[in-house]
Amino acid sequence: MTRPLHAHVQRISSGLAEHAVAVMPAARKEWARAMHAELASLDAGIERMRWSLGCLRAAYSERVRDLVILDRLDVRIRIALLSLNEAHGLIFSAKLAWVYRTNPNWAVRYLGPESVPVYAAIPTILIGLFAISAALYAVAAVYLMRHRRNAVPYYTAAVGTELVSLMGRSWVSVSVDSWSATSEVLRYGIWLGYTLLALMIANHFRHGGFPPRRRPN
Amino acid sequence: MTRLPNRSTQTRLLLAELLESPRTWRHGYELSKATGLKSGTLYPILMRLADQGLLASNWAESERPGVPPRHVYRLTPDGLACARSLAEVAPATLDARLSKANS
Repeated sequence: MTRPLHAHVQRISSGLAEHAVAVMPAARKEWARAMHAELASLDAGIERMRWSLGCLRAAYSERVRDLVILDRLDVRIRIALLSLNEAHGLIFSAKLAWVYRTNPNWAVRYLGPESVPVYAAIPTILIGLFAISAALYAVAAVYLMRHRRNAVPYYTAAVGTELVSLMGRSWVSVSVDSWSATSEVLRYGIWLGYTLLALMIANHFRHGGFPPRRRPN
Repeated sequence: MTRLPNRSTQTRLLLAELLESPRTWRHGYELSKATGLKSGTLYPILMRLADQGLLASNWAESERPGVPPRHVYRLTPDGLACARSLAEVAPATLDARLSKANS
């Protein structure tokens, strides 16, 4: 490595390690300083860079872990309400598809022109999947509000069932030639949002008892 | 759903390495080289072990002039007992990982 490049890498790696010290939660600062102190003993430029990137990763991961926002009841209630909203949407879809068979005039009031042929063709199994997913979201929301680990399997099952039902709905849309990219992106986007939420909840409960609560400095 | 503490391969790898010389203070870079763990993986494990009272840490003056003090680590008596009991579980796998890291 040439001398100017070496100096440049050294400066960047020091900057990254200092940033890691700044990002690290107060109770863990000493550990970030420990990682930073190691830099002075590393000679090779690339090794220093790797080390400081690791410092950064550790600092941000501790920062995220320190958020513990799901310990707060108001946050859990908001997420639970969001989940109940999704459950309501799914149940309403199931109801529309079911009612369409007996009373299409009522259902048409709630459907856009591109949705009518889709709902007319939705098979019973998909209606069942909508309803199951809605029920799973509702149960998961209750467990989450009560801060119970059981929320995790229910959220996992809810997003899994919803994905299958979404794929089924997409297949029906294509088969009746009423596929719309915008609504598909919207539907899968919302699903992705709930999946990320489920991952966050799983991560919260996974680390809930480990590591133990921080010792005050 | 909570994972059992200290059962991950990386944690066991680190404990096995610390068990090699339980009385010696080791610094982070040395442990990283010996176990093959990157700093971003190694330090969170060290933090958790220290939280559980399994790892002792200290600041040691560097032997090289102009180099700042370094954080050093070694197992506590509880850590030693934990490392010994974990070393009995699938030691062959850990040995393979350690020799791979050292090669």
